[in-house]
Amino acid sequence: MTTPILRARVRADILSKADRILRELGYPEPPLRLEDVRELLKLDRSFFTGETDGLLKTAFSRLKRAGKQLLKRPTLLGEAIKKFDLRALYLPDQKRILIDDSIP
Amino acid sequence: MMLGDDEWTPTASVHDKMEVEANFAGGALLFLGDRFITDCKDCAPSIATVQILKKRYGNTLTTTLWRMGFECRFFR
Repeated sequence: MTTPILRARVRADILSKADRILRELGYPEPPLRLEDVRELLKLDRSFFTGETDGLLKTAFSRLKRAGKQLLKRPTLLGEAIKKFDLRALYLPDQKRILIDDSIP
Repeated sequence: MMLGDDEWTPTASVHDKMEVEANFAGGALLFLGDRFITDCKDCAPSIATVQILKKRYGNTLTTTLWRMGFECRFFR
């Protein structure tokens, strides 16, 4: 039985998909946590298995994943604000800037 | 067809191709793409380096050595 050899095009395709996953994980430090990879795939599998990943598709996928995470844990946004000590938030679509009361 | 196979059961050749693709993808993920190659090039070629990178990437000695030898062309 001979082991099949991958063609260059297939290798390139697989590498681009792996790079897509690593990019969306923020190019993490080794060792890679497979739990994070599984969570990411659960949130939007079609983006990571699709053929192309243009700017618009990437942006849409990020919004979709963020939305799903917020639905799962509604307190996530509050925790992020607390953790990063955010004092101001710019909402471009509503043309508003929200500022914490503690800032003069 | 073997007993228990249905129309969705892959043939042996398709199964082998899928295995190879899965192994390749697994390697690309676990060794963080080009990151491992960069780390290899930053280190001197030795067994100690293999052991350090094995620990760093959390993979086996065999897969780390294989990757260094064939993907990084480490041992010329």
